[in-house]
Amino acid sequence: MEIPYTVKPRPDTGLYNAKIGIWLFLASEVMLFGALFSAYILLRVGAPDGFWPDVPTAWPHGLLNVPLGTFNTAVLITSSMTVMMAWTALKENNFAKFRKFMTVTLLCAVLFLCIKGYEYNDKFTHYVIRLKDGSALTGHLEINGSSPRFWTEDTLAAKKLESVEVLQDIPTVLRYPSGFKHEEVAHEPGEHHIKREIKTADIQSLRPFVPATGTFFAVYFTMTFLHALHIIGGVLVMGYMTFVGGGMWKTEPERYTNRIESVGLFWHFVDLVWIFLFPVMYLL
Amino acid sequence: MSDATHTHTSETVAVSGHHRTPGEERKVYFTVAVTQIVCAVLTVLARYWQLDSTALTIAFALLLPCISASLVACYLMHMLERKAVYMSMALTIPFFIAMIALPLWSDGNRPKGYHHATHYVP
Repeated sequence: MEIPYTVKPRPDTGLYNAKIGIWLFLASEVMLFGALFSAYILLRVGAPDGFWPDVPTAWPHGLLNVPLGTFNTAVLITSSMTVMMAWTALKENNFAKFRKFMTVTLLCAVLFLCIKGYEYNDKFTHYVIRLKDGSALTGHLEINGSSPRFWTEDTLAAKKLESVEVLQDIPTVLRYPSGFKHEEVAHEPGEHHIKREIKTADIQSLRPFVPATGTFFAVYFTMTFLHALHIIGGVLVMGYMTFVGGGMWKTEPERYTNRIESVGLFWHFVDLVWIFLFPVMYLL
Repeated sequence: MSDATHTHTSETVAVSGHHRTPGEERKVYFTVAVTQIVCAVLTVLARYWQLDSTALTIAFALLLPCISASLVACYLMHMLERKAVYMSMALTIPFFIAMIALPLWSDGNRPKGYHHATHYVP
Protein backbone atom coordinates (compact mmCIF):
# COMPACT_ATOMS: atom_id res chain seq x y z
CA MET A 1 0.00 0.00 0.00
CA GLU A 2 1.37 3.37 -0.94
CA ILE A 3 1.61 6.02 1.76
CA PRO A 4 -0.47 8.98 0.62
CA TYR A 5 0.61 12.60 0.47
CA THR A 6 4.35 12.08 0.72
CA VAL A 7 4.83 14.30 -2.31
CA LYS A 8 1.53 15.90 -3.21
CA PRO A 9 -0.12 18.20 -0.68
CA ARG A 10 -3.25 17.14 1.15
CA PRO A 11 -6.26 19.03 -0.19
CA ASP A 12 -7.43 20.07 3.29
CA THR A 13 -4.14 21.34 4.76
CA GLY A 14 -2.35 22.26 1.58
CA LEU A 15 0.80 20.54 2.84
CA TYR A 16 2.31 17.09 2.44
CA ASN A 17 2.19 14.84 5.48
CA ALA A 18 5.83 15.09 6.56
CA LYS A 19 5.57 18.86 6.65
CA ILE A 20 2.46 18.69 8.84
CA GLY A 21 4.34 16.28 11.08
CA ILE A 22 7.42 18.46 11.42
CA TRP A 23 5.29 21.52 12.18
CA LEU A 24 3.43 19.65 14.92
CA PHE A 25 6.77 18.53 16.31
CA LEU A 26 8.06 22.11 16.22
CA ALA A 27 4.91 23.29 18.01
CA SER A 28 5.66 20.85 20.84
CA GLU A 29 9.25 22.08 20.85
CA VAL A 30 8.08 25.67 21.22
CA MET A 31 6.19 24.59 24.33
CA LEU A 32 9.22 22.71 25.69
CA PHE A 33 11.64 25.59 25.24
CA GLY A 34 8.91 28.09 26.17
CA ALA A 35 8.53 26.37 29.53
CA LEU A 36 12.30 26.48 30.07
CA PHE A 37 12.51 30.16 29.13
CA SER A 38 9.61 30.82 31.48
CA ALA A 39 11.46 29.02 34.28
CA TYR A 40 14.56 31.06 33.47
CA ILE A 41 12.65 34.33 33.76
CA LEU A 42 11.09 33.28 37.05
CA LEU A 43 14.49 32.43 38.49
CA ARG A 44 16.21 35.46 36.95
CA VAL A 45 13.80 38.08 38.25
CA GLY A 46 13.56 36.26 41.57
CA ALA A 47 17.31 36.41 42.18
CA PRO A 48 18.23 38.96 44.85
CA ASP A 49 20.26 42.06 43.99
CA GLY A 50 23.93 41.85 44.71
CA PHE A 51 27.25 40.87 43.30
CA TRP A 52 27.90 37.17 42.76
CA PRO A 53 29.76 35.39 44.33
CA ASP A 54 29.76 37.83 47.29
CA VAL A 55 25.99 37.33 47.47
CA PRO A 56 25.71 33.58 46.80
CA THR A 57 22.14 33.65 45.52
CA ALA A 58 22.63 36.70 43.27
CA TRP A 59 22.62 36.20 39.52
CA PRO A 60 26.16 35.88 38.09
CA HIS A 61 27.17 38.03 35.12
CA GLY A 62 30.11 38.10 32.80
CA LEU A 63 31.02 34.44 33.29
CA LEU A 64 30.42 33.42 29.69
CA ASN A 65 32.65 34.21 26.74
CA VAL A 66 30.65 36.76 24.72
CA PRO A 67 32.96 36.98 21.63
CA LEU A 68 32.94 33.19 21.38
CA GLY A 69 29.15 33.11 21.81
CA THR A 70 28.75 35.78 19.11
CA PHE A 71 30.96 33.80 16.76
CA ASN A 72 28.94 30.66 17.47
CA THR A 73 25.76 32.58 16.67
CA ALA A 74 27.23 33.57 13.31
CA VAL A 75 28.21 29.94 12.67
CA LEU A 76 24.67 28.72 13.31
CA ILE A 77 23.13 31.49 11.20
CA THR A 78 25.48 30.56 8.35
CA SER A 79 24.44 26.90 8.63
CA SER A 80 20.79 27.94 8.49
CA MET A 81 21.52 29.78 5.26
CA THR A 82 23.50 26.94 3.67
CA VAL A 83 20.76 24.37 4.37
CA MET A 84 18.44 26.58 2.34
CA MET A 85 21.06 26.89 -0.40
CA ALA A 86 21.25 23.08 -0.43
CA TRP A 87 17.49 22.77 -0.77
CA THR A 88 17.52 25.31 -3.60
CA ALA A 89 20.23 23.24 -5.31
CA LEU A 90 17.91 20.21 -5.20
CA LYS A 91 15.20 22.31 -6.82
CA GLU A 92 17.72 22.99 -9.59
CA ASN A 93 18.33 19.24 -9.96
CA ASN A 94 21.93 19.78 -8.89
CA PHE A 95 22.72 17.03 -6.38
CA ALA A 96 26.48 17.74 -6.34
CA LYS A 97 25.85 21.33 -5.32
CA PHE A 98 23.32 20.14 -2.74
CA ARG A 99 25.97 17.90 -1.19
CA LYS A 100 28.49 20.73 -1.05
CA PHE A 101 26.08 23.02 0.78
CA MET A 102 24.99 20.24 3.15
CA THR A 103 28.63 19.48 3.90
CA VAL A 104 29.17 23.14 4.81
CA THR A 105 26.04 22.97 7.00
CA LEU A 106 27.35 19.88 8.78
CA LEU A 107 30.78 21.44 9.26
CA CYS A 108 29.15 24.54 10.78
CA ALA A 109 27.12 22.33 13.13
CA VAL A 110 30.21 20.40 14.21
CA LEU A 111 32.14 23.66 14.68
CA PHE A 112 29.30 24.96 16.85
CA LEU A 113 29.45 21.82 19.01
CA CYS A 114 33.25 22.03 19.30
CA ILE A 115 33.07 25.65 20.46
CA LYS A 116 30.32 24.74 22.93
CA GLY A 117 32.46 21.86 24.19
CA TYR A 118 35.39 24.24 24.65
CA GLU A 119 33.15 26.58 26.64
CA TYR A 120 31.86 23.71 28.78
CA ASN A 121 35.41 22.56 29.48
CA ASP A 122 36.31 26.08 30.56
CA LYS A 123 33.43 26.02 33.04
CA PHE A 124 34.46 22.64 34.43
CA THR A 125 37.94 24.03 35.20
CA HIS A 126 36.54 27.29 36.62
CA TYR A 127 35.82 27.46 40.35
CA VAL A 128 34.08 29.52 42.95
CA ILE A 129 36.11 29.45 46.14
CA ARG A 130 34.57 30.47 49.46
CA LEU A 131 37.04 31.22 52.21
CA LYS A 132 36.53 30.79 55.92
CA ASP A 133 36.77 34.58 56.45
CA GLY A 134 33.47 34.90 54.54
CA SER A 135 34.94 36.22 51.29
CA ALA A 136 34.54 34.53 47.91
CA LEU A 137 36.40 34.57 44.63
CA THR A 138 36.34 32.88 41.25
CA GLY A 139 39.19 31.58 39.13
CA HIS A 140 41.04 28.60 37.69
CA LEU A 141 43.17 26.28 39.80
CA GLU A 142 46.73 25.69 38.65
CA ILE A 143 48.06 22.32 39.73
CA ASN A 144 51.38 21.29 38.21
CA GLY A 145 50.77 23.49 35.19
CA SER A 146 47.31 22.15 34.39
CA SER A 147 43.76 23.12 35.30
CA PRO A 148 41.95 20.23 36.98
CA ARG A 149 38.24 19.58 36.40
CA PHE A 150 35.46 18.93 38.92
CA TRP A 151 37.53 19.36 42.09
CA THR A 152 35.90 20.09 45.43
CA GLU A 153 37.25 20.74 48.93
CA ASP A 154 37.10 16.96 49.42
CA THR A 155 39.52 16.50 46.51
CA LEU A 156 41.93 18.94 48.15
CA ALA A 157 41.69 17.00 51.41
CA ALA A 158 42.13 13.64 49.66
CA LYS A 159 45.24 14.89 47.84
CA LYS A 160 46.58 16.38 51.09
CA LEU A 161 47.50 19.66 49.41
CA GLU A 162 48.60 22.36 51.82
CA SER A 163 47.93 25.16 49.36
CA VAL A 164 46.71 25.73 45.82
CA GLU A 165 47.60 28.28 43.17
CA VAL A 166 44.61 30.16 41.82
CA LEU A 167 44.36 32.38 38.76
CA GLN A 168 41.80 34.70 40.30
CA ASP A 169 39.40 36.49 37.95
CA ILE A 170 39.41 40.26 37.93
CA PRO A 171 35.81 41.35 37.44
CA THR A 172 36.63 43.99 34.86
CA VAL A 173 34.61 42.76 31.94
CA LEU A 174 31.04 43.84 32.41
CA ARG A 175 29.65 42.39 35.57
CA TYR A 176 26.34 43.75 36.68
CA PRO A 177 26.09 44.05 40.44
CA SER A 178 22.65 45.57 40.14
CA GLY A 179 20.23 45.28 37.28
CA PHE A 180 21.79 45.88 33.90
CA LYS A 181 24.56 48.29 34.88
CA HIS A 182 28.19 47.41 34.91
CA GLU A 183 31.00 48.85 36.92
CA GLU A 184 34.69 48.93 36.21
CA VAL A 185 37.06 47.58 38.81
CA ALA A 186 40.54 49.05 38.98
CA HIS A 187 43.09 46.93 37.20
CA GLU A 188 46.28 47.11 35.21
CA PRO A 189 45.75 47.41 31.44
CA GLY A 190 45.46 43.97 29.85
CA GLU A 191 45.34 42.22 33.21
CA HIS A 192 42.52 39.69 33.58
CA HIS A 193 43.80 37.40 36.33
CA ILE A 194 45.84 37.63 39.51
CA LYS A 195 47.90 34.63 40.50
CA ARG A 196 47.67 33.94 44.21
CA GLU A 197 48.31 31.09 46.57
CA ILE A 198 45.58 30.03 48.97
CA LYS A 199 46.11 27.75 51.92
CA THR A 200 43.83 24.73 51.84
CA ALA A 201 43.02 25.26 55.50
CA ASP A 202 41.50 28.66 54.63
CA ILE A 203 39.09 27.21 52.05
CA GLN A 204 35.58 26.52 53.23
CA SER A 205 34.25 25.27 49.90
CA LEU A 206 35.51 24.74 46.37
CA ARG A 207 32.97 24.28 43.60
CA PRO A 208 33.47 23.98 39.84
CA PHE A 209 31.00 25.75 37.54
CA VAL A 210 28.60 22.82 37.21
CA PRO A 211 24.77 22.73 37.46
CA ALA A 212 24.86 21.93 41.18
CA THR A 213 26.85 25.09 41.93
CA GLY A 214 23.97 27.51 41.48
CA THR A 215 20.72 28.36 39.78
CA PHE A 216 22.40 30.18 36.92
CA PHE A 217 24.60 27.21 36.11
CA ALA A 218 21.68 24.79 36.37
CA VAL A 219 19.67 26.87 33.90
CA TYR A 220 22.65 27.50 31.62
CA PHE A 221 23.67 23.87 31.34
CA THR A 222 20.10 22.55 31.04
CA MET A 223 19.12 24.91 28.24
CA THR A 224 22.36 24.90 26.29
CA PHE A 225 22.80 21.14 26.59
CA LEU A 226 19.24 20.52 25.45
CA HIS A 227 19.94 22.81 22.52
CA ALA A 228 23.20 20.94 21.82
CA LEU A 229 21.25 17.66 21.80
CA HIS A 230 19.05 19.13 19.09
CA ILE A 231 22.17 20.08 17.12
CA ILE A 232 23.49 16.52 17.48
CA GLY A 233 20.13 15.13 16.32
CA GLY A 234 20.17 17.49 13.35
CA VAL A 235 23.73 16.50 12.43
CA LEU A 236 22.83 12.80 12.52
CA VAL A 237 19.74 13.24 10.36
CA MET A 238 21.36 15.63 7.89
CA GLY A 239 24.48 13.44 7.66
CA TYR A 240 22.34 10.39 6.98
CA MET A 241 20.20 12.17 4.39
CA THR A 242 23.23 13.58 2.61
CA PHE A 243 25.64 10.67 2.54
CA VAL A 244 23.68 7.46 3.23
CA GLY A 245 20.10 8.12 2.22
CA GLY A 246 20.98 10.07 -0.90
CA GLY A 247 19.94 7.12 -3.08
CA MET A 248 16.33 8.27 -2.81
CA TRP A 249 17.24 11.26 -4.96
CA LYS A 250 17.56 8.90 -7.94
CA THR A 251 14.30 7.05 -7.34
CA GLU A 252 12.01 9.65 -5.74
CA PRO A 253 13.56 13.11 -6.17
CA GLU A 254 10.50 15.07 -5.08
CA ARG A 255 10.04 13.03 -1.93
CA TYR A 256 13.74 13.41 -1.17
CA THR A 257 13.51 17.18 -1.66
CA ASN A 258 10.57 17.28 0.73
CA ARG A 259 12.56 15.37 3.33
CA ILE A 260 15.38 17.88 3.07
CA GLU A 261 12.81 20.64 3.43
CA SER A 262 11.54 19.06 6.67
CA VAL A 263 15.07 18.70 8.01
CA GLY A 264 15.66 22.33 7.07
CA LEU A 265 12.61 23.44 9.05
CA PHE A 266 13.94 21.65 12.10
CA TRP A 267 17.34 23.26 11.59
CA HIS A 268 15.82 26.74 11.39
CA PHE A 269 14.05 26.06 14.66
CA VAL A 270 17.37 25.11 16.27
CA ASP A 271 18.75 28.40 14.94
CA LEU A 272 15.75 30.28 16.35
CA VAL A 273 16.21 28.84 19.82
CA TRP A 274 19.86 29.87 19.86
CA ILE A 275 18.98 33.40 18.68
CA PHE A 276 17.13 33.82 21.98
CA LEU A 277 19.40 31.67 24.15
CA PHE A 278 22.45 33.73 23.28
CA PRO A 279 21.32 37.15 24.58
CA VAL A 280 19.44 35.62 27.51
CA MET A 281 22.39 33.58 28.77
CA TYR A 282 25.39 35.61 27.67
CA LEU A 283 24.21 39.20 27.81
CA LEU A 284 21.37 39.76 30.28
CA MET B 1 10.27 26.46 2.00
CA SER B 2 7.54 25.78 -0.52
CA ASP B 3 4.95 23.04 -0.50
CA ALA B 4 5.29 19.72 -2.19
CA THR B 5 4.42 20.68 -5.71
CA HIS B 6 8.01 21.18 -6.73
CA THR B 7 8.81 21.84 -10.30
CA HIS B 8 12.32 20.65 -10.93
CA THR B 9 13.32 23.29 -13.39
CA SER B 10 16.43 25.37 -13.35
CA GLU B 11 14.45 28.53 -13.94
CA THR B 12 12.08 29.05 -11.04
CA VAL B 13 11.46 27.83 -7.51
CA ALA B 14 7.96 28.07 -6.03
CA VAL B 15 8.33 29.82 -2.70
CA SER B 16 5.75 31.69 -0.63
CA GLY B 17 3.38 31.83 -3.53
CA HIS B 18 5.99 33.61 -5.66
CA HIS B 19 8.25 32.24 -8.34
CA ARG B 20 11.84 33.27 -8.02
CA THR B 21 14.90 32.04 -9.80
CA PRO B 22 17.28 29.99 -7.65
CA GLY B 23 19.72 32.89 -7.88
CA GLU B 24 17.12 35.26 -6.46
CA GLU B 25 16.31 32.74 -3.73
CA ARG B 26 19.95 32.48 -2.73
CA LYS B 27 20.16 36.28 -2.62
CA VAL B 28 17.22 36.37 -0.19
CA TYR B 29 18.79 33.72 2.06
CA PHE B 30 22.14 35.51 2.02
CA THR B 31 20.52 38.85 2.89
CA VAL B 32 18.59 37.26 5.76
CA ALA B 33 21.77 35.66 7.12
CA VAL B 34 23.73 38.91 6.95
CA THR B 35 20.89 40.81 8.64
CA GLN B 36 20.76 38.19 11.39
CA ILE B 37 24.49 38.47 12.03
CA VAL B 38 24.21 42.27 12.14
CA CYS B 39 21.34 41.91 14.64
CA ALA B 40 23.48 39.59 16.80
CA VAL B 41 26.39 42.05 16.79
CA LEU B 42 24.07 44.98 17.60
CA THR B 43 22.61 42.96 20.49
CA VAL B 44 26.11 42.52 21.89
CA LEU B 45 26.90 46.22 21.40
CA ALA B 46 23.63 47.17 23.13
CA ARG B 47 25.12 45.70 26.26
CA TYR B 48 27.73 48.46 26.30
CA TRP B 49 25.37 51.33 25.56
CA GLN B 50 24.14 51.51 29.12
CA LEU B 51 20.70 52.98 28.53
CA ASP B 52 19.21 54.77 31.55
CA SER B 53 16.43 52.26 32.02
CA THR B 54 17.20 48.63 32.82
CA ALA B 55 13.84 47.58 31.37
CA LEU B 56 14.58 49.50 28.16
CA THR B 57 17.98 47.90 27.84
CA ILE B 58 16.55 44.41 28.30
CA ALA B 59 13.69 45.18 25.91
CA PHE B 60 16.17 46.42 23.30
CA ALA B 61 18.39 43.38 23.83
CA LEU B 62 15.40 41.13 23.11
CA LEU B 63 13.92 43.25 20.32
CA LEU B 64 16.79 42.53 17.94
CA PRO B 65 16.59 38.73 18.41
CA CYS B 66 12.82 39.04 17.79
CA ILE B 67 13.52 40.78 14.47
CA SER B 68 16.09 38.12 13.61
CA ALA B 69 13.69 35.31 14.51
CA SER B 70 10.91 36.90 12.45
CA LEU B 71 13.18 36.93 9.41
CA VAL B 72 13.90 33.23 9.86
CA ALA B 73 10.23 32.40 10.27
CA CYS B 74 9.08 34.52 7.33
CA TYR B 75 11.82 33.94 4.76
CA LEU B 76 13.58 30.67 5.66
CA MET B 77 10.60 28.78 7.10
CA HIS B 78 8.22 30.48 4.65
CA MET B 79 5.52 31.19 7.17
CA LEU B 80 4.33 34.07 5.02
CA GLU B 81 2.41 31.47 3.04
CA ARG B 82 -1.27 31.66 3.89
CA LYS B 83 -1.90 28.13 5.11
CA ALA B 84 -4.31 27.19 7.86
CA VAL B 85 -1.66 25.14 9.62
CA TYR B 86 0.57 28.20 9.98
CA MET B 87 -2.33 30.15 11.41
CA SER B 88 -2.74 27.42 14.02
CA MET B 89 0.97 27.66 14.76
CA ALA B 90 0.34 31.28 15.60
CA LEU B 91 -1.45 29.99 18.71
CA THR B 92 1.96 29.27 20.16
CA ILE B 93 2.63 33.02 20.27
CA PRO B 94 -0.03 33.86 22.93
CA PHE B 95 0.97 30.66 24.72
CA PHE B 96 4.59 31.78 24.78
CA ILE B 97 3.67 35.32 25.85
CA ALA B 98 1.51 33.93 28.66
CA MET B 99 4.35 31.71 29.84
CA ILE B 100 6.67 34.71 29.95
CA ALA B 101 4.08 37.04 31.48
CA LEU B 102 2.94 34.73 34.28
CA PRO B 103 6.25 34.59 36.17
CA LEU B 104 6.73 38.34 35.70
CA TRP B 105 3.22 38.95 36.99
CA SER B 106 3.74 36.70 39.98
CA ASP B 107 7.08 38.36 40.69
CA GLY B 108 5.50 41.80 40.65
CA ASN B 109 2.69 40.66 42.92
CA ARG B 110 4.69 39.96 46.07
CA PRO B 111 3.29 40.69 49.50
CA LYS B 112 4.37 44.01 50.95
CA GLY B 113 7.68 43.76 52.74
CA TYR B 114 8.61 40.48 51.10
CA HIS B 115 12.32 39.94 50.47
CA HIS B 116 14.06 37.13 48.71
CA ALA B 117 16.03 34.84 50.98
CA THR B 118 19.77 35.05 50.58
CA HIS B 119 20.40 31.98 52.69
CA TYR B 120 23.08 29.80 51.18
CA VAL B 121 24.10 26.27 52.05
CA PRO B 122 27.46 25.44 50.47
